[in-house]
Amino acid sequence: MVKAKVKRQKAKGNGLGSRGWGLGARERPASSLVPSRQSLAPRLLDIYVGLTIAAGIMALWWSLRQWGQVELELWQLALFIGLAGILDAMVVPVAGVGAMAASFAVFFAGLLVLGGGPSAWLAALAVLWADGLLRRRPLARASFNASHSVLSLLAVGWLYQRLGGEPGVLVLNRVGPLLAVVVAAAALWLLETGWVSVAMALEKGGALWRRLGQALGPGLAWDGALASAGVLLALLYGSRGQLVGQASWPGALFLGATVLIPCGLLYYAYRLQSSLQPVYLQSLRTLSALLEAKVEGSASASSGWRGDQLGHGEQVAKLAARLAERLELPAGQVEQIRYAGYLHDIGKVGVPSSLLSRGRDHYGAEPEAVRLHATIGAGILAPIRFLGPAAEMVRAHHERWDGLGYPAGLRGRQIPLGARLLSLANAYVGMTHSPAQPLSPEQALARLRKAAGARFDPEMASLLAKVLQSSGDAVREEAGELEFARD
Amino acid sequence: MARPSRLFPIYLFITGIIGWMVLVWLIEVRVGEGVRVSLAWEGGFFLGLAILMGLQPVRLPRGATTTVGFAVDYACVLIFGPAVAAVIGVMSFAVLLRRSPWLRQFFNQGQVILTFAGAGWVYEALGGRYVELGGGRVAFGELGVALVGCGVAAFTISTLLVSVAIAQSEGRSVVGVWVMTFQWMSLRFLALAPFGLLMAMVYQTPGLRLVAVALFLVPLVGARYAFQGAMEMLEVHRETVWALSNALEAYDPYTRNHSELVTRYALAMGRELGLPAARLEILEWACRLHDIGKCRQDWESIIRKPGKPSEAEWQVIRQHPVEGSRLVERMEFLPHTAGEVARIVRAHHERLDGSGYPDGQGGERICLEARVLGVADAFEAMTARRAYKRRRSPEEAIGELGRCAGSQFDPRAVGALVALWQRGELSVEDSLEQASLTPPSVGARMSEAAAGG
Repeated sequence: MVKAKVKRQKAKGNGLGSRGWGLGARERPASSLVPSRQSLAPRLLDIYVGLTIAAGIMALWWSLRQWGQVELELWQLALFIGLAGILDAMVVPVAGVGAMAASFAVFFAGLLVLGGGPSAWLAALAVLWADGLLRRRPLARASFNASHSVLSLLAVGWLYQRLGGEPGVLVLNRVGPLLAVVVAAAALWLLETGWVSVAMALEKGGALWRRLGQALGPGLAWDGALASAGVLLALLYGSRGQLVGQASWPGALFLGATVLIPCGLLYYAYRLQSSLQPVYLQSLRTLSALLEAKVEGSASASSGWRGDQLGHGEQVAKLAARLAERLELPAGQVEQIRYAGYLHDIGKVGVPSSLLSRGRDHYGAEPEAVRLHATIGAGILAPIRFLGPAAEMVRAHHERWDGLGYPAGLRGRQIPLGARLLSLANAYVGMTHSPAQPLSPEQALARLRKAAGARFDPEMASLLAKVLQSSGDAVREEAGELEFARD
Repeated sequence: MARPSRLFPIYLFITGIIGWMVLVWLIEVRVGEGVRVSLAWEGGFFLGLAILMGLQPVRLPRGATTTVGFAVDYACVLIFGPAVAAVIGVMSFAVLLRRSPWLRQFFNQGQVILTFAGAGWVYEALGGRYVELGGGRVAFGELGVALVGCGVAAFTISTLLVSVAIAQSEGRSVVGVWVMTFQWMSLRFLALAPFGLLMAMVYQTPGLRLVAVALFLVPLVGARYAFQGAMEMLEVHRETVWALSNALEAYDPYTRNHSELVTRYALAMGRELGLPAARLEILEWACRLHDIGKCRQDWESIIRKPGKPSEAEWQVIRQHPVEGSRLVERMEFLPHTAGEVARIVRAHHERLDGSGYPDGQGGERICLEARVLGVADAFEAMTARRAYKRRRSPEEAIGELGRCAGSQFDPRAVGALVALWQRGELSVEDSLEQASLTPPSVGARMSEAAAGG
């Protein structure tokens, strides 16, 4: 189940920072070239969140009148709310689309066993308990999460009954009822994902369908596995008498274990996987700083960069990745471009330092030995299985659009897209951070525009101008993302 | 490493024979009781499951692998009783171990039969009944003791039989091997037993036996693939850091290949000293990154300058373990180990008598890994072929290390190096091509030896 989770950002984020949607103190981005469009979006977001919460409360009230009283024993309440609450706190972050919680399993089981109305109530209590008390999230966010679950569960509960499903009676060996179960699971998944995707699209901008597409992919395996656990819970719930005897608390224990153990393991594995990405980036960061210390003679490797002072490799990585994101390239390719940015000059370790410091000759060309660094760098990266595409980008990051670059003299679209982005970002960062005479962003952009069509891909050069104008704060926001993923 | 005992093949053979005799007896008893087993579907399902799980072992950090087959085995015993479970186990081994030597296959068959028979005997003695034999019901509330007893019996018998085999093949004491195997497997057992138990209980769902088990397995399969992805990411991370840190020194004729060889020596010494796999892994990271603090542009000029370094230059030299440890701390490559790796890197130029740098610590305050790294570092520096200095023969270097043992170097670490050299297990090479980039993984030998468990 997808869950609203707002990116935690460093001091000067876009103002929607750590206090949840619509509730944070709103700061203007300090250093953007133009006022960002985010001044409008948060208001829409506030309205959306407020409407969802209001609708959720009304739906709960309505469902109480509709269904009347539902008799549940204490152990049943404890089982469902306890399980849903624990699983709701098992949250896995997903890049760009918030986070997924494991409570889907119990929500779905509740829907099958108790029907839409009671399960909506249970979900509301569980989410408020888990988000508000266990995870100490702000009340508005917890209410929003509870409300969209309530609305989805009520809607799907209605759909399930229309399809002939009957709460408490689970039949899997006939086509009709089985189909109803599958359709209900799919509908619940789509509704929940959609609800949060709208919020993410409003918060961060970007097309809704794209957010939805990003969220549905990772959610499919996760929620599919959880739906299976939910169906199992419903099955065992129905026949717990034959399985563990009529006593109520051992039954609750058994049911809880059959859901918690597999789902807990699933959560652990996903969590582990998602925690490694920032670790990898962090290592690349350190190694690229080392490279700069060795090759370019920053004071020393470990004191060369601290906090916000970014190395050249890191800045190139961030800018190139930003361009790639703007082009809406697949997430994997964006990552490769980011890695290539960090490591684009790794080949310079193979060039004698006396040559590197000599600079250009009077034709403005670099010495042949220095030109080798692109090939050497690709050679260093090529044996690393995972970095194959990045190696090719590193090899071609000094190719020119007009074919006069090195090492292969590729021209135009023969040059990998990632390499074209890298060469732009490299030039821009080099000009704006040159130790001798740094240029202002406007001056650098003007020079890049002049060289578009000769050195650079003209389309990409104008993209760079757009990206730089729409968000002057790009680098900081990226730093915030790393922070968030480690949360 | 000692040679396998002569009793080794005899032990394997006898275990196999006894196992098969027990299986025949078990089946005979069941047939005598008039029980017919007609569970082609169910048995086939679990056989398939056992084979699938065995074919796709889960890789663990530190190079070890594990299969989750124990959960299936346990569920099979509870559902079908020991005879059918043993048949399923033997049949799955026929597929899984088809490439092993026949004696080993035979031993593993005997081992699995004896394990199941013993587990079943304990379970029945404590009042347990099997699901598919005589309509028993597995319920934890009523049969808790029997269920736990069954699992513990299976675990004990299996580890004991395998430990004896390992002890025989490596010429070590049975108790020592058993304690090690026990420690290593008990975690796995504790983690997997609940799955087996739940699988057996879920299987009892009226009317939906296999469907319920399948539903139960879906999240587990998902978890397995996510875990696999995480392990691959760790592997990629390790590969990347090693390749890049190698590259940082590879183009420098003075340090080329130094860390690679130091790593090889230190790991061999660590194994000789009996360090557990987890600490070897930490040692390996520390070795590969120990000189990373030398990455500064002026390093070469300071080191290569003839004559004594000035006070300022000396400061720089003494600072490199500190710089290195700061960098390593920041890399946080493996969860929770960066601090330890950093500590080793920081202390690798300390000396036992306190005359080292940067902290001048002595004696027991330097951790064992750092002392091992210090010895390996010195050994490599002396034996390496470098342009600017005479290369010493390994014998000379070992003599030199022996003279400084106790004052500068840790005698135990030096002793380990000497033992390795005397047994001819220390190859001193210095070409990049000959040095393999990734040494054989630490846990491989262990899991290979215990493949039957």
